Amino acid sequence: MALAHNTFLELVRQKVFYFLLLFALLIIGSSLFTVEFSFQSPLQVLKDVGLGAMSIFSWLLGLLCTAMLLPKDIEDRTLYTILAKPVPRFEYITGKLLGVFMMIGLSILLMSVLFAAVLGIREQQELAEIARITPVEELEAALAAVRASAFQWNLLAGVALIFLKAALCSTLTLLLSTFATSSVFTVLISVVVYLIGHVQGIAREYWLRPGEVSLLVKGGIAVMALLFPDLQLFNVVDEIAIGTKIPLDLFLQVTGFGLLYTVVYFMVAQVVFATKEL
Amino acid sequence: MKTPAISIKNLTKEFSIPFRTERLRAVRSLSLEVPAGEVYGLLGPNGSGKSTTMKILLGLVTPTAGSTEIFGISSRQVESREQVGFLPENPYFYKYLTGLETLLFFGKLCGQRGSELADRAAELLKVVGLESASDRRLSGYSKGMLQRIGLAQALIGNPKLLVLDEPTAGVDPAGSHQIRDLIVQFKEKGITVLLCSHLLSQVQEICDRIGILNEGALLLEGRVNDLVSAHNQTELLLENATPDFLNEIERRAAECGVRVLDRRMPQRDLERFFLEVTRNKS
Amino acid sequence: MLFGLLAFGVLKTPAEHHLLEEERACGFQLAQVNNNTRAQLGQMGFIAALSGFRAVMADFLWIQAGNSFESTDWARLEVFLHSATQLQPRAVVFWEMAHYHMAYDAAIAVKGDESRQPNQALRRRAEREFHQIGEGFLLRGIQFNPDNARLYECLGNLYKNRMQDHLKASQSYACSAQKPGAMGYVRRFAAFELAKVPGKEQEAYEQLKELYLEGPQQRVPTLLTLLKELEQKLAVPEDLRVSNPQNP
Repeated sequence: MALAHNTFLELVRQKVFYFLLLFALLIIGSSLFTVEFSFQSPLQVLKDVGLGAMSIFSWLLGLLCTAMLLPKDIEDRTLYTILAKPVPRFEYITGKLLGVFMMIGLSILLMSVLFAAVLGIREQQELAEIARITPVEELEAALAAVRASAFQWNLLAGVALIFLKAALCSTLTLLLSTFATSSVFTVLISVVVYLIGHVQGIAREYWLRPGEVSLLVKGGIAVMALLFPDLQLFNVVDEIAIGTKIPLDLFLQVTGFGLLYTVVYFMVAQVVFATKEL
Repeated sequence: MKTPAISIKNLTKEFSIPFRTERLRAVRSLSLEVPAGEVYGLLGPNGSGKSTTMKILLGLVTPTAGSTEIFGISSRQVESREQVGFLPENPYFYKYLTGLETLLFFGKLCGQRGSELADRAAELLKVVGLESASDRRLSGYSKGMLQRIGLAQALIGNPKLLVLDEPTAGVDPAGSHQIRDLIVQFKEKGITVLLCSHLLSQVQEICDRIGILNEGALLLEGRVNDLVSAHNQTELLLENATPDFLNEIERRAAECGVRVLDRRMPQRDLERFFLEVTRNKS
Repeated sequence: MLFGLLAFGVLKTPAEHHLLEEERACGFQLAQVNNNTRAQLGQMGFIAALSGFRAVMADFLWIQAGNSFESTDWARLEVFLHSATQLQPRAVVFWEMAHYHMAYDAAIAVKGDESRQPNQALRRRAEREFHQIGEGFLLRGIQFNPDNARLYECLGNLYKNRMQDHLKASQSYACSAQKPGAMGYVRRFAAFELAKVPGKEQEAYEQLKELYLEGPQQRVPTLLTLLKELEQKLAVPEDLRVSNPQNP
C-alpha cells in the first residue's frame, strides 16, 4: 500500500495533471460551440466531445504514466533500493499498478466534475433561452427535452467503462514494460495494441464472411483476435450520450470482461517480473 | 560457530548475450564469507563482477549456480532482506519526495509504522546530519546529501548488515570524509558492512578485511594490514633534522647492513590539506 | 507465456463475439465505418472515430454537412449525411434531419431550379430521386431505431405530403402510433390517409368510427367531416351513422 500511495504521489507531483488542463480547455471551448447547431439537441456536441476526450485522455494518461514507471525505477536504481528491502516483487508490481489506477480514477473524477459543471451551466443557459422564446403551452415539453439531453445517470455507467478500459490498457502497458527494454518501445506497442483492439471487431466480421478474404489474411486476423482485447466493447458511452439505456446485466458483463482482462494481464506481468533479472 | 553475515558458496553467474551462442561469465565459482561485525571491502576493476555479486546477494539476480546466504537465510527468500540495508551506486531515489518522506516511505516498506517509524526517521536524519534539510525535496540535494540520505534509508530497517556500493563515488572530500566517519560509527555499533569501492585509500582506512575480484573470480583475500604492510621496511619521520645528521644516519645504517631505499621530504596529504583550506574558508 | 495468452484468446474470443452481439441487441455498436466515411474522415479522423471519438467525428461530419447545405451542394450533402448517420446511427435527429434535407430541401430546390436543368421532366425526375433518398434515410433510421415513433411519423408525412402514397402513409402512421412516445394525432392521420386510398373506405370508416367513439378528444373537425363524407359514400344506413346526433 505504501508503494501504491507513493506511485500515486509520484504521478501527482510530476506534471501529469497538465493533461487535465488541456481537457478543461477542450470542454470549455466546445461548450461555446454548442449554440451553433440548432439542428441537434443543443448540448450534444458538448457531451460528445467531453466524453470522447475523457475516454482518450484517461487512456493516454494511464499509458504514459505506466510506461515510464518501471524503466524510470530501473534507470534510477530506485528499484534496487526498494527490492533490497523485504518487499516481494509481487507487492512491488501490485503497488505500482494500484498507484496508476488511483491516478486514473482521480483524473476521471476531476474530468467528470468539470464536465458535469460545464454541462450544468450550459443546461441552465439553454433552459433560460428556451423559456424566453417558447410559447407557454409547449414550454413544459421543450424544457423536458433539454433536461433529457443534459445529464443522465446512465452516463456514469459509460464513465465507469471508460475507467475500466484505461485500467485494462495500463495493465497491458505494465505487462509490456516488464520485458521491454525501453519505454519508447512500450508506448509504441501499447498504442498499436490499442488501435488493433479497436478495429478487431470489424476484422472479426470480415473473418466470418465466407469467401471474401484470403486464407493468409484470415490467419492474421485470427491471431489478432486471439491475442488482443476487443476494446470496442467498452465504447458504449457515445450511445449512452444520445439516450440509449444500458441494461444492468449487459453492463455487468462488460465490466466482468474488463476485469478478467485486467487480471489476466496482471498475472502475466507478475510472472514475467518475478523471474526478471534486474 | 556464529552464523556469518554473508556466506557465498560456489557462486557462478552467466549472462546470455543476445544474438550470440557464447555466454558471458560475470562470476566464476566465487566463495566468500564475511563474519558478523566486520567491515569487508570488495575490490576490483570495473566489470570484475562486484555489482553482480551484490545483486545476487540481494536477490535482484538469480545465480546460474551456487548460493548466497545472509545470516543463514537464502537470498532467494524475501525474509533474507529483513536484515540488510543497501545503498546502490549513484542512487537517485524519488526526487519528488522530501528527505523525511523518503525515510518514511522506505520505513513503511520495511513494515514499520506510526510514531516508532517517525522517531526512527528523525533519529537517522540527525545521525547523517540532514535534520535541517529534512523538508526539502531530494531534487534540491547535493550529491553528498543524496549519499547520506541513502545511508539513512539503508539503516531505516535496523539492519545488521549494510551493503554499500561505491558510497563515496562523486562526493567531494568533505562529504566523503563524513560518510567514512559514519561507516566507522556503524561498525562500532556492531553492524557488518560490505563495501564495494575502488577508492583504495578509503578502503584501506576503514576495512578490516578485503577481497580482490578480477574477471569474476576471487584473486586474493585477507586482512588489510597483512596484505599491504611491507614487513621488512620501516619509515622514520624526523623534524628539524640537519643534512649532516641525516648523512650520519645513512652512514650508520650502511655500517649495520641496512639499506636506505629513499630519502625525501614528506608529502602533505592532499586530502587533509584540501579539508583544512575549505574548512577555514567556511 | 505467449501460449498462455493464445489459450486465453481461444477462450475469450467467442465470448467477446457473443458480448458484441448482445450489445448490438441493446442498441450499441451499430455504427459502421465504410470506405466512404473513411475517405471523408481522413486517416487521423478514422483512427479517432475508432478509438473513442466516434460521436465527435459524427458531429464533425454533421457540421460539414451543414456547410454543404448552405452552399446547396446536394450531392455532397447526401454523402456527409450518409457518413454522419452511419457513425452515429442511434441519433434520431440525424436521420430525421437527413431525410428532411433530401426529401424536402433538396427535392424542392431541384424542382424549381431552371438554371441548372431547363428540362422540366428531368427536374421532376430529380425531385423524385431525392424523395427516394429521403425515404431511404428514414427506412435505415428505423432499422437502427425500431422503437422510435418520430421516424415513422416522418415517414408518414413524407408519403403523404411529398410522394402521394396514401396507403404507405397510413401504414407508417399506424406503426408510429404503436411506438412509445407517439403523438396523439398519428392514429387519426393513419385513418385519414387510409380514407384516401380507393377501396379502403370501409376499413377507414371503421377506424374513424372507433376513434370517434373514444370520446370528445378525438372529435376534431377533420374527423367529423371525413366521417360524414364516408358515411354518404358508403351509404351507411341513417340509424347507424355516428355523425347523426340522434344516435347514441
